[in-house]
Amino acid sequence: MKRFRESNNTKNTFFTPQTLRRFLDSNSGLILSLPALIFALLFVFYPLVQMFYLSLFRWTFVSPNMTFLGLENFRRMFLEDQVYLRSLLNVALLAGQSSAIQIPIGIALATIILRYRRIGRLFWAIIFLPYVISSVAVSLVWTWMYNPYFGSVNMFLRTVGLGFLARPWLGDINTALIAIFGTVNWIYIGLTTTMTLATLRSIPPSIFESARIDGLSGFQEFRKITLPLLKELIVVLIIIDVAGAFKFFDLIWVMTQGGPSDSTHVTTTWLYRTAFRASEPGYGAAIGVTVFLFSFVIVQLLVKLVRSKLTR
Amino acid sequence: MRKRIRLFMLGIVLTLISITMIYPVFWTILTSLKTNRELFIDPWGIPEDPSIENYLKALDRGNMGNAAVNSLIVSLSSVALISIIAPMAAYATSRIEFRLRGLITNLLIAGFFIAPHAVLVPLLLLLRDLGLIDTHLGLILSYVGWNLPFAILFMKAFFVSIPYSLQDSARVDGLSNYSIFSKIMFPLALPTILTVAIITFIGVWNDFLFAFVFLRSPSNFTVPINLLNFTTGRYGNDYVAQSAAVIISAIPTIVLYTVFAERIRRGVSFMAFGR
Repeated sequence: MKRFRESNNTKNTFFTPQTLRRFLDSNSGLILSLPALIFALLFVFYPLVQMFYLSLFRWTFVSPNMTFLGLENFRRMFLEDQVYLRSLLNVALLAGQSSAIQIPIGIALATIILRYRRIGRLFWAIIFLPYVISSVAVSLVWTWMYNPYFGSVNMFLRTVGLGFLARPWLGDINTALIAIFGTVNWIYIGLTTTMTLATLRSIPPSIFESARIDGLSGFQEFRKITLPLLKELIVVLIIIDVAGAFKFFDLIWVMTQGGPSDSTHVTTTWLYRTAFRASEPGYGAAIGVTVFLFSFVIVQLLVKLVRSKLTR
Repeated sequence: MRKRIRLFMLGIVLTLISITMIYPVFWTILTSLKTNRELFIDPWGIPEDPSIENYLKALDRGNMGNAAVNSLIVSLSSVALISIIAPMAAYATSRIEFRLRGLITNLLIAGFFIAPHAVLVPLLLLLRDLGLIDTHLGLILSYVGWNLPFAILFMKAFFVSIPYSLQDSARVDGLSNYSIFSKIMFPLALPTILTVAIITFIGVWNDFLFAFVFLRSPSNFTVPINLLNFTTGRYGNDYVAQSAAVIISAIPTIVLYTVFAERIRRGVSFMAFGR
């Protein structure tokens, strides 16, 4: 590599096929990365930087006029916008319930699948299935499951004698969020199980063998080998749940559009509503700034924290 | 004996979970073969005269046929671009020394950790400036930009596992880095590229967000947004036709899943450990 660079530095670099070749050769790393880099700069970083700028103004898509507001959008968001604050709470609830429900069930199912391999394979294939179906299709199907007239949920409750629980699940302000969480868990249980399985399978069997030779009991084995490995996994899964909650949009938009009375909004659906339905893209960009800061920065900090703890 | 009982209980639990996972899909298939009258009279009933009429209606009047073609164009184009661009960048940032390599690597993969939802507003402005709103090209470029980070991360994990000796001996034979990439590394990476391609295809085929914000005319709609449009428009109460549309939308990804289940699950679980 050095040799090429020196020869490039000599002053008489005419544009000959040879110099071109040398140029291409000594910059091959950059040149091969260039198409991806252009995409990253244009479609990820340029919008990201512009978002911070746009969040300081009041403007609309149709007019070129922009009114500078400073940090007014952020003041309004945190001090006046009840729906925004509610959406933050909903994101926290979503991340919290996903972690609390999916992780223990996922670990249990993964352990069962590993133990009973033959039936486990089929079971695994079944529980992962919802993940490959589009979220719009899944949302529609579950909207029908919760439908007050022909929905299976109410029909099932009436059949087993719990008819008093029947209600329009998505239309009732007390149950809409719970109903959505039910669908969320239905989709992602398979994913959590799959990630756990990947971890459990990465443990070389020889570790267990040597543990057995050392005379560790089954429980000690779980505590000394499996659990520490799962600890790392659990933290990673929680991080994924937190980041995922900030990326949540489709399900809520299709099932409730944030209703009833704006009680089921997450931050991204509220961003969409304000930016594109209420024509306040400046305010939407400001919400975007908070989504970015919360999801990206918090997650990066968590990752750093975990890393330093684990590599210690 | 106690072991038997435990196994039996376990079997019951697994069966109940399996039924819960399968039932909504099964119900939708059943409903798609009924008439609306049958649905409201007995939602659990068996269709008396099962017909594919609802499917024809969804494909034709529901615009699902056209949407499927649009989705196919958009998904395949995005996948093709990613399958070429991602291995190039992944190979370069894993195996070639160059200035600012660390910074460039971070720039390339940062998108994996950012929610595209956050930048919807500036992204729409960008597409407007490029004149690409309501076009498939605008959608494709956005998908490529936001799916490359995962693809590159995934490919990098593969390239760092290839022994250096391979590329060193190729260098000794006088091959340039470009030839090493195109003649050795790219073919070697094909199975990994296939995994990335399948996962990206499913992701793009299923994506709602970008299509929802960037597309305007129903003739350009991709499958998910067209599906939603079908349930809110003139056929808003035609639940049996909507059920057929849901099944149509899910067929390609379910077929891919049945064929490539292992690959897909491996790729997806990488998302948890890709760092």
